[in-house]
Amino acid sequence: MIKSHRRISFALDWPLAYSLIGLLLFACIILYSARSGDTVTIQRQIVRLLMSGALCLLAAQIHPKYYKAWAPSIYTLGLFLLFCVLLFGESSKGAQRWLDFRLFRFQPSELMKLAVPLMVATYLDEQLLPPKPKNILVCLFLILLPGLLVIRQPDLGTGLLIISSGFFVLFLSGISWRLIFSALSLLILCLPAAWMFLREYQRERVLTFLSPERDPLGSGYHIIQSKIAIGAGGVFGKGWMEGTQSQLNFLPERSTDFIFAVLSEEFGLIGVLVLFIFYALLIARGLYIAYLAEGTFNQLITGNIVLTFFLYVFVNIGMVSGLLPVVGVPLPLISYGGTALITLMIGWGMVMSIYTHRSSSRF
Amino acid sequence: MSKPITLKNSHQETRLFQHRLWIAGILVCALFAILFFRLAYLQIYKHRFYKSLARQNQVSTVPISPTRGLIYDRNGVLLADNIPAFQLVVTPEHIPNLKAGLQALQDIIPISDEQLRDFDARRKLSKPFEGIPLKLQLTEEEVATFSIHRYAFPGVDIHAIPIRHYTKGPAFAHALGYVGRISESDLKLIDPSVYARASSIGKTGIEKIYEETLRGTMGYQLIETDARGRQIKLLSQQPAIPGQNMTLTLDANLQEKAYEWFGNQKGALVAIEPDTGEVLAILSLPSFDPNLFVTGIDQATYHALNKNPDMPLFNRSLQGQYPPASTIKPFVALIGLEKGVVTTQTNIKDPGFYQLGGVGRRYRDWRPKGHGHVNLNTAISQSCDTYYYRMAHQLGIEALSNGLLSYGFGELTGIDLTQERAGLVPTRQWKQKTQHVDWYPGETLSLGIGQGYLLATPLQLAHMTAFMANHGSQYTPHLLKQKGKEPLYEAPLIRDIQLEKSEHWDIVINAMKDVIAHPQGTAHYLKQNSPYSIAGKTGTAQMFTLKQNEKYKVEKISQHLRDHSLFIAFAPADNPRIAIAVILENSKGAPLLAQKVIHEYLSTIQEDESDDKKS
Repeated sequence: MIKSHRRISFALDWPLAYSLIGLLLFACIILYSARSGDTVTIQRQIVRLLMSGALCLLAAQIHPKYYKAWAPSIYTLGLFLLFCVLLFGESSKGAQRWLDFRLFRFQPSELMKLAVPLMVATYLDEQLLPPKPKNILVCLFLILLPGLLVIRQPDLGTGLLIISSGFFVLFLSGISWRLIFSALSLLILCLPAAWMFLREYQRERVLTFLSPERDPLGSGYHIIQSKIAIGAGGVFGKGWMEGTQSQLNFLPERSTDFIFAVLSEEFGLIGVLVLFIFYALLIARGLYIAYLAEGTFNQLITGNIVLTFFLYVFVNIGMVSGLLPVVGVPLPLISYGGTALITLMIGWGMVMSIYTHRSSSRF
Repeated sequence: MSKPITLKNSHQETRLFQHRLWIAGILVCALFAILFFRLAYLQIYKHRFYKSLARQNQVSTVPISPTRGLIYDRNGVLLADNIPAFQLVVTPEHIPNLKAGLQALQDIIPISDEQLRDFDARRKLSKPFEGIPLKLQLTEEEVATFSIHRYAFPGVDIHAIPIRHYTKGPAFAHALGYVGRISESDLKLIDPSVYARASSIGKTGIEKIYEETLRGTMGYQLIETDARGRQIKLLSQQPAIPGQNMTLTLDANLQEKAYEWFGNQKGALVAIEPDTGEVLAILSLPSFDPNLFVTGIDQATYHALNKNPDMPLFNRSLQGQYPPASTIKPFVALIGLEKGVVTTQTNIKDPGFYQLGGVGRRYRDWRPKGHGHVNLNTAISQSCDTYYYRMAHQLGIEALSNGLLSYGFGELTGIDLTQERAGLVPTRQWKQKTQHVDWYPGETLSLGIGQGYLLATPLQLAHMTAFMANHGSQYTPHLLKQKGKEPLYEAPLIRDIQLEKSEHWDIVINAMKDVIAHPQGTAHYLKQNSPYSIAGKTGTAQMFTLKQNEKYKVEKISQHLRDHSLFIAFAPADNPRIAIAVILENSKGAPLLAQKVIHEYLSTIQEDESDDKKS
């Protein structure tokens, strides 16, 4: 180990890097169209891409043992910031999610997306696997405390994603199937209770999801317009910057949550396939790295980052195509915006770090 | 890795993990497949359906605002009109570079930052391809300038739209209220399908209360727009249905003259037709120009109006709660007669003050040397405080406040205007509840002469004067005479008080006549050149408490602490056609002003009626 520190080496996994670069370039092309050729925002996004790329490389250089060592502090900091948001956060669109540090605004829930799996994996690393009921209870506490805090902001989408990424770690750690199935059936039984806990606008979203035509000009508008855009795209699409749904403003939030509809309208099913291939390559390589990873912490973290990434992809495309309710999750690596991008890229950097710092690659 | 993990079976754990990873991988593949099939379903199987929907999207619905109903006075004088105004309307989707376009526009037409901010706010709320107003009232010069440069500004248009115009300006501002642009807070309360973004909504007064009558029904135009959003042709349209016109009970001539006679004095005036409750005039001064609000008032002007110490936006006639002072005396006398505390035979000798139980604090009469021998009639006509102190003391707080409450003091009249306040009749319980102190006997004395906690609005005073003129029947005061072609509105009878002895009305009313008719009456100076018999009562509300032996000297007291002058009256006394309440803040002369209004009104209706007879 000491040896490896002395050696001047650059940790990077080329297959992952190629898929990432491919996706990000594709993102620029779609964004340019979604922003109707507004070069200023594109330049800003490119700066963000470069920044997050640099952070990814940086994350790849850090030995996984440090991630494990830092996990409790990051988790505690994240929790602290979440409480801060609760007490004096900035609210925008009726939700308190931001902390204003004068120089920049920061969403602590974003930090939690990495901190929760890191913390759970660190904890489980110390235990005998599969985890015992006592350990599972501790994990549930570690997952649900931040998750419910985020849901309270209220940000149901991010909260559920944080909770599910925590559960991925539990799943990968090998908890018994009996437990998984009984938890799932309990969840279904609890749905009516959850309904009471939801805010008015969240209920509205669920109802609109079940029947978008209920409110065609209000909350159903998003999903109706987005389905029209996807369907109108057909197999070959209308061509770059030629989508009427996107270019004529019918499609709401077309550069963020609904960017997939722009892609589908302008590049058709072919464009969708290209995107899927890039995603599939990234995820397959990630799963492969997880398979080769050594040590419980490394295994759990890699598996988790890859599966959570897939979850984002699935939830966003599912929502835009009308399979899932509108929960406000951006399309990973493609949607306009900085915070989510940085978290994701740091995550992939960690995967690279775990791959390149294997004992087998060291000797 | 220094922890005691030697017990961990690393190999078995790795196998377990890899097993789980396989399952996850299979799930990922399955979910990817589901997504792909969903998209293939939308993009191949349903392609034609969605393609036609996308095309339909390109047809836009343009709302047509209805014209707002007009408002007339009782004689058909137009009070609120609609006049064309030229708006600068921008459709952002038609402008290649919005920022640069707006900048260029600013070079030829001045546009304030505030207007730009409003534009941005409205833009966020608007649907695609909706024209958004940028500047709401262009001058003729600006219209001409823009017309010359029009070719350089695709997506910018001038629309002529009707806007509200209040023909009589400030004199009617508090009565009619005004319309304004729909604000975000309005949007939460209204049904968005009946308003277009650009339409106006009644904010106060008649405009707000009768919003639904005046508004009308929206129409629509279906316009085909091409992929670039340019309008190609009109497909169909449904015309707007204009709002209903309204006739009010107000007499525009009377209201305008009264407004002039106020000059720059502050105060309020309310005149009511007693046997119907129709409001003939309702004024609050100083006032403001309601036309300022129609297309959105700019912040500086609004701030100036709002911070003006004379409070022009405050509707004194029904929001202003004043101590009614001696104008309460006829009503207290009525209570005294009914409870048998006084009769026409009750005489006292007034030394100029009253002491509870003959000792202690002296409750002073306004006339330092007293009125000598006083009976009930002179107590009203000369406004003798001492007489009332005694009467109030004998009645006690319960009888006094219950009596006033039973006549309708302290409750909303229910007039069809906004923001009316209820005034206040203090009771023992009220004081206990709000101030946690017991009622003092001395406070009953103050209440007896209309001071202390007692508060009433000018509208309430006019309403109560009409009640006196009617011998106990009370109608809800109202401004509505007729909506569209509906039958004339008649207000319900809300109170019909039967006294123990009906001659009590005449006792009090005769004393009110003597306020003017008797040489010693407090308003005897009105007697000169008065062809009509007026029953009235003067009042002076103290804004400044004198010390026990101090004298009131006008010149020593600063303007805003000077006494308010009040007058209530109805005329002709034997066949009342008008009941009026006037309050002048920090000034004398309410009786004279009231008399002028009464003369003006009675002489015009007399002319009208003699004209009617001739024809």
